[in-house]
Amino acid sequence: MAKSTTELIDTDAIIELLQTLTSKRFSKLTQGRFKSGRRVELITRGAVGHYIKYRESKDVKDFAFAPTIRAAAKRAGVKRRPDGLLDIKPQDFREKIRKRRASTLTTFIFDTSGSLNKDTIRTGILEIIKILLLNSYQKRDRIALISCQGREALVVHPFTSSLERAMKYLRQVHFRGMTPLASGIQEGLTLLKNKMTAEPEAKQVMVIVTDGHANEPIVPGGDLKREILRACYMIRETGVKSLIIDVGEKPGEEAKLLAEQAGGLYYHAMKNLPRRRRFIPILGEEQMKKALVYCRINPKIGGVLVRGPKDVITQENMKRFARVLPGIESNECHYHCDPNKPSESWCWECKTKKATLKKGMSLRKRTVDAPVVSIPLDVNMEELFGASVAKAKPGLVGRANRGILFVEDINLLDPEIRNLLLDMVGQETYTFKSKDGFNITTPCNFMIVGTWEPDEWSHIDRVILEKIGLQIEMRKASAAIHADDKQIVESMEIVSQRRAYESNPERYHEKLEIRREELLPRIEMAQNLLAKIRLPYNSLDLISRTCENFRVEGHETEIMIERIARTIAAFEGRETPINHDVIEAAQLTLPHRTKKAPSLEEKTSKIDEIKALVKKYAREE
Amino acid sequence: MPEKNELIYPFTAIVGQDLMKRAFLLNVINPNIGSILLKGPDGIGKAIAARGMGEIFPKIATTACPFRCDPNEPERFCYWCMLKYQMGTLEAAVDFPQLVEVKPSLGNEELLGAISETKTERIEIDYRNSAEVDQNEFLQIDDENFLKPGVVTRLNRGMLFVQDINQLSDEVVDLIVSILEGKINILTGETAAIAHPAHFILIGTINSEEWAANPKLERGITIHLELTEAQTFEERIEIMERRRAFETAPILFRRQYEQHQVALRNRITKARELLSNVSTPDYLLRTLARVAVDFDVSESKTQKIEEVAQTLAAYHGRSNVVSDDLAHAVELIIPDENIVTELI
Repeated sequence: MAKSTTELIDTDAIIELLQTLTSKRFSKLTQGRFKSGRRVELITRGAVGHYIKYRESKDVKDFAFAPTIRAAAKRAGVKRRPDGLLDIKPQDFREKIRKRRASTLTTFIFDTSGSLNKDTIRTGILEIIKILLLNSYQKRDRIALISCQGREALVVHPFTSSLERAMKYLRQVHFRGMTPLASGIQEGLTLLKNKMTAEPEAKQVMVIVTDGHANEPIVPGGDLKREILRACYMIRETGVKSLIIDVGEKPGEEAKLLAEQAGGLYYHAMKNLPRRRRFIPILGEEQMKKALVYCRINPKIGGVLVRGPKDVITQENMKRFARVLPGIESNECHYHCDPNKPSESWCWECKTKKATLKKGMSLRKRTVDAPVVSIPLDVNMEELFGASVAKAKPGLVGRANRGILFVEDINLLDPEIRNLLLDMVGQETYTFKSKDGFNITTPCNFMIVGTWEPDEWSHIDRVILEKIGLQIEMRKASAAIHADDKQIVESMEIVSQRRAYESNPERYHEKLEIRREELLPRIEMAQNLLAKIRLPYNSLDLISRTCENFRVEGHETEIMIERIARTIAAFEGRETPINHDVIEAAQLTLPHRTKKAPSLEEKTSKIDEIKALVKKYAREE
Repeated sequence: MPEKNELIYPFTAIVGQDLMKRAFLLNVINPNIGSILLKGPDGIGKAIAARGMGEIFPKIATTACPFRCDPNEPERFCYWCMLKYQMGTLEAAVDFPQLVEVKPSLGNEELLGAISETKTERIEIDYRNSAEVDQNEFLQIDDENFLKPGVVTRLNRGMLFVQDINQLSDEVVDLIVSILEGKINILTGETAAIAHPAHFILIGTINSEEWAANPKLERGITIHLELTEAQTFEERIEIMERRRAFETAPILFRRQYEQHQVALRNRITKARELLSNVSTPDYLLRTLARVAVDFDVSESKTQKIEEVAQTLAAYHGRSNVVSDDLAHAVELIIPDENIVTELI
């Protein structure tokens, strides 16, 4: 199996570094004295802390009585007062020197930008931050967490000694967008500065976890490098100790420069990272690939809704699955127009090119992989349609033409944008009317692959379910091996695939390639067959009765099941669909469409119900 | 706003939902009836029926103006037609009214249009791009003022369709309700004011799981329908079959229903002509009055019932209202089963 992330990252080294920052005596660490409790010791004059020694002092607040009396006695010597009392004079005054452990204020600035959105790096970063947080918690540090993402850095929470909020954020954080590193450092320094007046004794530490590739200045259009260097200079000037943890795949010059300027320590954490992409066995993979093929055959299905934990349904994985789709023949344009279709459905690029061509000539063609375009949650109309009119720049929708539009957390997407995207499903072109009075026509023949993570709070909207036909659940293989027989078989398949991959990775991918080539004629055949297929009366009756049993609202679900059943039959090359096709379609469509989302047991029992119905029909026949 | 480029499912091919279809037809025959609010789960054909209805509109005689003014109603002419009417240069034309679908995120100006002082909006265009300037032309009021068209300006004698009408902002609801009542849209600019007729049918849908619509809107709408899924399996199967046929060969499917569509359109035209001659017999009026008193039906609703009954009679080609018509009318306006049984 793959190495676990704890092996990938040398966490001890990081913790040691953190200790070095705050204390010079970290050699004592191992001797038990500093193993727990706060990491910094201070010698103070206040009334707090434990008393270690004394000193002479004129202006005493915290008397050390015994030394004072001793000093007085010593000074008096044999010349005692006749009444036996001791004369204490100011020169005898001794003051207590106390020692106490001071608190540490640690600011974690971590980069959650899109440049780090790779499986291994992401898990690595989360691992590092978790270890750091845990260590800081054990040492009674107070922690502030700042996340660098998008336009400006976000203070996840200011100083607190509670771990929970930080952990909660880490669990659900997404890696995407730009890297506003300078803004992050600035925020961190502001937080520290605010605390400095209240607790002047506290040790101030800043830990920056980044790959060094900052690309978002504080001032729009400002000088990026200058801003960062200035921020680093400020770190050094204010006396904040810093640790820069480089999480790039290779040690980066930028991060090193950062450390040098800030006068901090530099550590490259990803030393043990394997260069090769890891093989992650996932349950539901075969289903997913099939689903993508079904959508390719019949665009009216609309797409696939994938539910499962976030670490499984990542963009990277989805791109991997998308590679199963055969390449598309397209014109040389941004929108992958189909050269075999009439030129009315083409984009403006191809249309203008065609207009300038001589008679009898045709546009140049190429074969490309089906595009996968991902839509961020905070997408706007301009990005979608390329509506910045002055520039001939294709929008995200246009880029995804004849490919996959990937929407992570589709249930959290802005309703307006979501409805817009869903409106486009199953259509060739879409005309966007901007408020300036422009019509922008974009080809939009894409399938939506949306992901969501079901838990008590997340809710999938009826509008999404209405348009996106297929639903698939994905899990890690290890979690499901004992679930039931069918899944064991699937897991076995994964294990054997894994073996094939390990023995010869090149050959494994070659094999995948061959399967893709086989798929292309099959898909074309299915597309031709689709129009001829009609479901027999029995199957239609089965569908409507199933939907009735499940208390499904509206007729959209029935229509969708019928559509998918036909597509499955077309893919299998059957002109008359069999009941098995209907069941497969129902299994892919029904979950979450019933009035109350059924639990797993209910779901399986309901599938049994369908099976019973099928048996009944078989007997009647 | 974005627009779809899609073929419309024919109205006559809709399976079941007779009540809804009847409500639509009656409204098209007699636009005075009012508007329709459809409540029910998604995916039972509310939007399909409304969009299909847009195709069924029969031709109407107009005065060749953008507002499709009715040549028989000179008192409700728009500004431009009034000018022409006084000069005696009024033209006649035939036009199809429109169905305009808007999103619930509709804004004020988008709805009403506005008076602006320039002829066009200044837009920088790169013609290499696919962007085209919208064809909506500004109408000249006088030397300085121009009318910038909105949704309502295209809507006279047509139909406004709003999905999820409960999500409209209160402000827009107020505007729509006041236009529905007055059947006129008045726009004021800094130096000019203008009125044009805006007599349209409002069709709104609400998902049954969601919150109710604005009470003002509910009062402004005459027909409230609660819809459910098809009850029989035969119907459900027919729905799937027709949907498949439409999906695989939409043009062929539409051709199959062309005959029905034309027949329905002709029937509507005939019913419209007949409508002014339909009368309600006295005994039925008395029955209606008794029901109104017994069940505490308001004056305006009673009038609407009579109007609907007359329209129904016209639809069936009768010049006299019969008790069945009245019963159906009551069923539409006051969805209370007791009253219906009482009448029959």
